[in-house]
Amino acid sequence: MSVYVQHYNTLSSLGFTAQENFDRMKSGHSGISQHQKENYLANPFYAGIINEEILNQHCSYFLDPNQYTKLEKMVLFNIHNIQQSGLVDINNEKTLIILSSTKGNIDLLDQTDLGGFGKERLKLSALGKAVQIFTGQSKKIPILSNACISGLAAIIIAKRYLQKEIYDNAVVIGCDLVSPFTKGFNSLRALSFNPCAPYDKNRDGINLGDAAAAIVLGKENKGHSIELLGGHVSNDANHISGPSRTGEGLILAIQQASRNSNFSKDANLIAKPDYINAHGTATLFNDGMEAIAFNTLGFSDCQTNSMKGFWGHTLGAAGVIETIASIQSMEQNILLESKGFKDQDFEHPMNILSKSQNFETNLCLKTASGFGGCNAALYLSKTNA
Amino acid sequence: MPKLSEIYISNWVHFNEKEMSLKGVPIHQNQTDSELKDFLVEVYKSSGLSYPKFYKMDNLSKSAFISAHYLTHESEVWKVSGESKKGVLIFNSVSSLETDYNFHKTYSPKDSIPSPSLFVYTLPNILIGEICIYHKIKGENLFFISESFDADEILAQCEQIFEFNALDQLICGWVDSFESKSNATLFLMERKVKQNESAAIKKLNKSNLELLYLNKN
Amino acid sequence: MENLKQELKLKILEELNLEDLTIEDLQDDTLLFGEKIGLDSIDALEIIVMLDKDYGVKIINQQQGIKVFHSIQTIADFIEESRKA
Repeated sequence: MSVYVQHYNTLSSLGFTAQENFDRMKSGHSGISQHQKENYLANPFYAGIINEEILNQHCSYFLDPNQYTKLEKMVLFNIHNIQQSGLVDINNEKTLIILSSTKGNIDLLDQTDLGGFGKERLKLSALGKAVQIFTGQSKKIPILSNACISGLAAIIIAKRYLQKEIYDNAVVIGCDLVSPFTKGFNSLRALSFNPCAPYDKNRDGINLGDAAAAIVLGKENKGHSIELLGGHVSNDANHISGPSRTGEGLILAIQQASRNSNFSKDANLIAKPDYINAHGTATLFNDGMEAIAFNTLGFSDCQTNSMKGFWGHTLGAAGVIETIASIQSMEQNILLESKGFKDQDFEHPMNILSKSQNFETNLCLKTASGFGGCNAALYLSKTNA
Repeated sequence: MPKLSEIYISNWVHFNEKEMSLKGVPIHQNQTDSELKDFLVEVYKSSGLSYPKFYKMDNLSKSAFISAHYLTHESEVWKVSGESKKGVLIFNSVSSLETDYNFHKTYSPKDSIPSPSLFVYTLPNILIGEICIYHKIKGENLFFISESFDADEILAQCEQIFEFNALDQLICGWVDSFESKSNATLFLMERKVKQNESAAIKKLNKSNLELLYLNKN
Repeated sequence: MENLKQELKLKILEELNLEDLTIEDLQDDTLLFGEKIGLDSIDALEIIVMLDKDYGVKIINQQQGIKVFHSIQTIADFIEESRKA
C-alpha cells in the first residue's frame, strides 16, 4: 500500500501559503528578523515571528479572531485552507487528523489573565478541541509531542495508519510559537543572537520561529507525484538534552527507515538519497552530531541543507514545514541554499548547499533530532506517474 | 510482522500518590501521608536502585521512571532483548504542565533568570528519554497527548509500533502528574513469551487494557 | 572565604538536588564533574544561573566555565576575584 502527498500548506513568518513561502525562499529571503521584546529576552534577538494582526486579517472571514488563541488560529488557517482545496473531507470518519506540537498555547502563561482564555487552554489537548469546535466534529484528535521530531514523527505515524487502511486520508498539522516561555533556550545557552548559521563553522546557536503547516496524505497519487517511503523513530539512550556524540541514534533511524522502504532485500544496504533535508539547528553539537552520522553512513557527499535559516527552529512544526519545502524542491527540481551557511566546518565536512540550484531529486531523506534523545528519518521519492 | 493477537501483557504497574502496585498487588504504600515528591523518594529508596539522577527529575519523570523500573526489574527477557528491539509509548492528558508552571515561576519576577534544568523538563517526552537512558532503549519512542485513557487509541498505536518496528518489547501506558498527584499505569508488552509464564500474562486487547488500567485484573 | 565555601556547598547540594550526598562528600577540592559528584552539562548551566543570581558574577564562555567549575575552591576563588575586580 503506497501513500502519497495530496496537498500541503505552510504558514510562517515568510508567508501564508506554501507557494509564497517557497518563492521567497528561492529568491533568498528569510523570515528571521531582529526583535526587541523585553518580556521575551533582555537583549534584541533574531526570530521568525508571525504578526498576529496580519494573521487576524487572514482569518477573520472564516472565524472570530477573539475566540481562538494565536496558535489555534494558525492551525485553523491550515484547516480552512484544506477545506477550501476541496481535496479531502476533514469531517469524514475515514480522515485522520493528527497534530504535532511541543508546547501548544503555552504563550498564554505570559499574557495578562492568560489572554482571557482560561487555564484549560494551557493544556496541549486544547489544540485538538479547537479543531473539533471549528470543524464541528467529535472525532478524537491525537497530538504528538516528541520535542523537535514531533512533526516528522507525526507524518510517519499518519503514513502507517493509511498503510494499515484504517483511514483513507490523513491530515498532519505541526505547530508551535516563539514566546517568553522559550527563553529557556537561552538558559540552555542554545540561542544565537545573530541570524542562525546551520553547519557553518562559526555557528553559535538557534533562532526560533512561529509556524503551522499542514500536509495531506492519501492512497491515491494525485496532484503531486511524491510518495512517502519508509520512516522510523529511534532514541539515543544517551542524554536528555544533549545530542549523542556518535550520531548512533540518528544512524539507527535512517537505517531502519531505509529498511522500511523495502529498497533492497539486503538489510545492510542503506539507500543513499540524492538530497538530504537535515535538522541543522545551528547549535555546535546538533550539527556536529548530524555530520558524524552522515559521514558514518557514507552520505557526506549528498547535497544537504537545513531550512532553519529561513524560518528559525519552528519546534513541533519543523518536521512538517521542512518536509513540505523538501517536497516542493523535488517537484520544482530546485534545491535551496542552506541559508546562513558560509564556511565549511572542516572538522565535520558535509556537502552543504551554499546556493540554490537546479537539481533533479528522485530520492530525498528528511531527518530530525530532538531533546529526550529522539531521532526521526523519512524517505520520500518522486513517482513517475 | 506480528499481529496484535500475538502480543501479550506480561506485567503491569500502577503508581499514584498513595501506592505503588505490581500486577494489582500493593508493594509500597504511602502510610505517612507524605507529599507526592517525598513518596516518590521513599519508593525509590526502597527499590534498591542507585541512580542519583532520579533526584533531578520532575514528578512526571520520576513517576514514569520508578514505574518502569518495577515493570521490568524481574523480566529476564527484558535484560537480554536487543537495544533496538525495545521501545516506549506513553500517553497523558496534561503534558508537562506542572513543570511548565514551575519553570514559569523561575522567570516571572522581573529580571529573574529562568532555570535551565527545569526548562528541560518542560517537554513531556523527556520522561521517555530518562527511561531510554537507564534501560538502554533505542527503538521507537513516542509521546501522545490524549484527553483520557483510551484503550482503542493505545491498541492502534501498539499495533503499528510492533508491526513496523519488529519490536520484541514495549513499555506502554499512561503517565500523568499534576498538582501533586500522579497517575501512572504502565504495561510491559511482549512478542515472545515463555509458555510456563503464560498463567500470569494477559492477551493484549481492549478489555484487558481497560480492566488492568482500572486495577481489576 | 570559609563561609563562602560552606555556603556554596549547601547551595550546590540543594539546588542541584544531590540528595544522595552530604556536605562531607563535598570537600573544597573534590572534582565537581568527576565520578563521585557526577555533575553534567545541565548542572553546569544551573551553577551559572546561581552565580549570576546570588553573587552577581557571570561566566562568559565554556572554557572559563570548565576552569571555574573544577571544585568548590575554584568557584569560591572566582567569586572573590570577581568581587575585587
